[in-house]
Amino acid sequence: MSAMAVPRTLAEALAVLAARPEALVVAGGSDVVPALRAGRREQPAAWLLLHELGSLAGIAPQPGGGLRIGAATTVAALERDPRVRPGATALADAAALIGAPATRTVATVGGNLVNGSPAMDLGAPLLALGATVELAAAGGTRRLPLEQFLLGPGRVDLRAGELLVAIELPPAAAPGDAAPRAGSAYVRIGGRAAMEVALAGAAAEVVLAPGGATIAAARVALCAVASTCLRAPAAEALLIGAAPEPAVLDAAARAAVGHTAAIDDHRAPAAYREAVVEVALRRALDTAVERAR
Amino acid sequence: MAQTTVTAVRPRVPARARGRADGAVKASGRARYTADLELPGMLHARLLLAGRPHARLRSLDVGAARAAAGVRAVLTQVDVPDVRYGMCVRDRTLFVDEVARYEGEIVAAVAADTRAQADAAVGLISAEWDDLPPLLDSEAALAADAVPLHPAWRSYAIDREETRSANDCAHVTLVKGDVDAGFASAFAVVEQSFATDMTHPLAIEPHAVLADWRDGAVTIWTTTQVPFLARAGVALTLGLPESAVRVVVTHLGGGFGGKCDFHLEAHAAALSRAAGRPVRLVLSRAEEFVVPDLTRHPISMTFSTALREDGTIAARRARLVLDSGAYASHGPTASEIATLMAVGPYRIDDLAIEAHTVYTSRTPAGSTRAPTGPQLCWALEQHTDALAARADLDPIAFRLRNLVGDGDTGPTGQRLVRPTARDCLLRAEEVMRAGGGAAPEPGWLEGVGFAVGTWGNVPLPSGASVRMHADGSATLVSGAQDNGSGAAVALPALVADVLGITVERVALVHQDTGATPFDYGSLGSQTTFNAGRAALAAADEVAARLRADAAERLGCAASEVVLQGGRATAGEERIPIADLAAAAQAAGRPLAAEVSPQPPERPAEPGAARSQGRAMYSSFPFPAYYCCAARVAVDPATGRVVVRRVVACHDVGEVLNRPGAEGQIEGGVAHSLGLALSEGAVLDGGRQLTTRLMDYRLQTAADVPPIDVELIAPRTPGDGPRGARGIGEAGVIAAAGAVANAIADATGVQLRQLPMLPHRVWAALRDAEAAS
Repeated sequence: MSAMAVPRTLAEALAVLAARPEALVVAGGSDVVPALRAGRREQPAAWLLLHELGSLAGIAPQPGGGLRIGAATTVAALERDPRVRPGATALADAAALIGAPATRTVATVGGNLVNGSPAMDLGAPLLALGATVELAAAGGTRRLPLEQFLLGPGRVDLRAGELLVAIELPPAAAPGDAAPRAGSAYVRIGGRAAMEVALAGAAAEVVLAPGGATIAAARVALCAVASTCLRAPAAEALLIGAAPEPAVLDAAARAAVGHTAAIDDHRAPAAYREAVVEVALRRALDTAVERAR
Repeated sequence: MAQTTVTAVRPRVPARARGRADGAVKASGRARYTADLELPGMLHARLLLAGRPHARLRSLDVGAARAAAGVRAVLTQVDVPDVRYGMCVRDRTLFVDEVARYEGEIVAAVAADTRAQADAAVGLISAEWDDLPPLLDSEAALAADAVPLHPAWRSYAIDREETRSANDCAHVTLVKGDVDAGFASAFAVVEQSFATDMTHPLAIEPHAVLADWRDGAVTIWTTTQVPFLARAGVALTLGLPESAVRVVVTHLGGGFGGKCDFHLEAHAAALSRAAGRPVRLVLSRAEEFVVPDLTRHPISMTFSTALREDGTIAARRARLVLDSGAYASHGPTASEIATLMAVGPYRIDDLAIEAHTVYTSRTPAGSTRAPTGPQLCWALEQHTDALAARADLDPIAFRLRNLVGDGDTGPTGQRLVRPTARDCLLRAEEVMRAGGGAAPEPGWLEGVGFAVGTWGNVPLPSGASVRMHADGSATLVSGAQDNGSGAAVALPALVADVLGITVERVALVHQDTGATPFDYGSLGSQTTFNAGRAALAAADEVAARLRADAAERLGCAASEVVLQGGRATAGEERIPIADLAAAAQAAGRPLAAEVSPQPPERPAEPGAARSQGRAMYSSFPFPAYYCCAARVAVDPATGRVVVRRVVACHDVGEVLNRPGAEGQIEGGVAHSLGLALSEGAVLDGGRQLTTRLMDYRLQTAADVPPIDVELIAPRTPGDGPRGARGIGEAGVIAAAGAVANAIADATGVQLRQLPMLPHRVWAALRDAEAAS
């Protein structure tokens, strides 16, 4: 019989992980349970089940602005939260696209990230929103920018005994602007209206300078076109300081494709992914700018 | 465009709304499916699959598995009779016999106390293989120097004349007129090629079998659409009389053709015999994709069509290559149907159509819902639009000029009586044009497309009995199998109407070969057509007895007696049906009838002898017609296609059960939209990569648009009961073609590969732009 721990506090959970670092951590189970049932994943010798660990779920404003999102926050909560929708709209866009309502009710943001799929829907929006991840262990806590956490397909920088506990989003404010003009968006390309895995996806956050004539800050991220979700700095460089005009957005979307390293697989050929990720980003930029105005 | 109005033959059975007899138990979760069944002492079975597309078994050692904890039986081919089986060609064995020809071929079966023990024991079986080069390309497999997948193919029994060669298990032709002359005088010729990917019937319920062998006989609860054919398969492969095999089906959770034929019943039965315990086998979802031999055929198609100057079709040549996979299954029959679908519902005097049914190293294809129908209709109706363009006619006008009309002859000379293809097309166009719909999204392209077709109703024997009890209630015993469509569970309503009692007072006994007369099962849209006719004939006999008995009591003529509301009525006089039934029982002449009515005679086909390789579908007997119209939006930047609206117009004959008929068509359209846009197995070296429902992508509720179902007034009664026709398959055929033509209407580009995935649409648009 395998060991099964259902901690009620973070300290308990971290103690379990310290003792059994190989324990399989289960939050919503929407990925791991089907994988276990289908035999794509080995039955673990130890389990750490997070469903009683209430403190790991929830969305809270940060003292200096921005949001702190508990790792066990469900995708459905992200989709509906009144702070996520205006403050981190790209994340709400993505949350609304994941799986079906039944999936979203159990799936968690932490589970989505730790899975490390290059096609995860929450990765690109969180990168575009400048997310950092908080990783706790019995011996202490560390913080990492999300781009450093994502290492490759199915691989994240989670050390033995560590648990992803929260994702933090910085405030999206233009320097010196009392009324921040920030907007973000996520666009996914797929073949179905639901239960879809991204063939390509792109997220953008745009902050307009006071007056709205130029882009003061921008982050751009892509999904399903490389071994991880990734930022596209070449696109960001073209956007920052430029006018939010179609020609600029076109050029930025085109430049982002230079960061891709897509592969052919059973879902789509690489050439298609690289072509449509540009379309996705162009549309995400349009929407982000519109939302910033 | 001239269309005369028609007075429909009025149905005797009112087409009123009826609830599903099996609806409440299914919706509430109380329905028990085969995988839910348990017997005391039941064992769990698991299978070892070849896991490779083509290999010779060098050694097989099951010793460790037999010795493992909880294991009660392990079987391989040496443990069962050396018998070959197969629906059209007897080309396969229950377990791998020296050579595995597809990845899902069964090497061994294990029965153990728990599923985990059975899984563990499967892992202990040692199989050593010498891999052989797989046949992955059906065209290459046809080449004269190709290695035969079945070196002993000449020795396999076949159900039709010899037209085969090594890797072509049936070469089927359809010949009419003088095709060379037709082309010689052509004004223009259009030639096009199309191809389709492997798809799956994909019932949500997996294949499951529970076998209980005791005292020399076996009872098998199984997820089959064809209980009597499954019984025959078990009897053949295990060397039993059919009387020793009883096949029972509880609720079936969908079939779509994937549970036709005979699959796993004998494996479970043999395990039960060896273990002396009941054995249950349930396939996993991944196994469901690779083990059962009933995928939808991948088909390569080339059509060459000669046009006359007046925009009529003069002649057609077509070459169809069906990828049958490792075994023939229903492939030869599918090839027959494919050649008919290559002609379509069009008047063509000169034809030379041929189909090859090719062995390759992949999961076999079979009789998936409307076998070859959606693939051929999708390709042919795009070809028809191309012909219209060449003739400088719009697609509707071109079709009206070429669709079959009264007195035209089919490909084998069958005389067509008032066919309704044009009615279906005109009605579909009218409804589609009248409907509004949301305004197009900026940047998206919108288009409308049409696809017309025909499909047969196969006359087959089917038996039923009706017995009225002393209280005036009745039991219908029918050979019919319900695949989840509701076709069989609707039969008591027909009987109740005839007997003048409420449907609640009619019990149904079916899906049990130990209790019912023979029926072919849920295939070929035949349940209402044939089992419905049998049920009504039996009910008619009982009703005639009731009328005669009532007439005697009331002193009137039997023809004056009406059975309604539980009473036999003649003028002002009435007598409870229960009184008549009680009196008949007391007199030792119970009100009962068992019949197996003669199927309607197939129409004459004076030209049939010119075609070869045909056994089941020389023509589409008693043809039905349909037209599907689709409105789509295409995102040219990504190739994403969204279907906005579908109009499905069908001649189902007289409507016996309107919600049932509409439900079959709606479900068929949704299925067809999946074939059009998202379903398709991706293979690598003979192995399927898409064996999860996240990868093999059905349409979701969010994808399927509003569907208008139009049941048009038939111009002739159908030859089924009360003038009905079958409807289980026709609904799935045309929507994919309508979507393809709508995409072309929107973009100017036709798609040559099915499914029309976003990346394929995108590539086709990019290629067209590069070429222009």
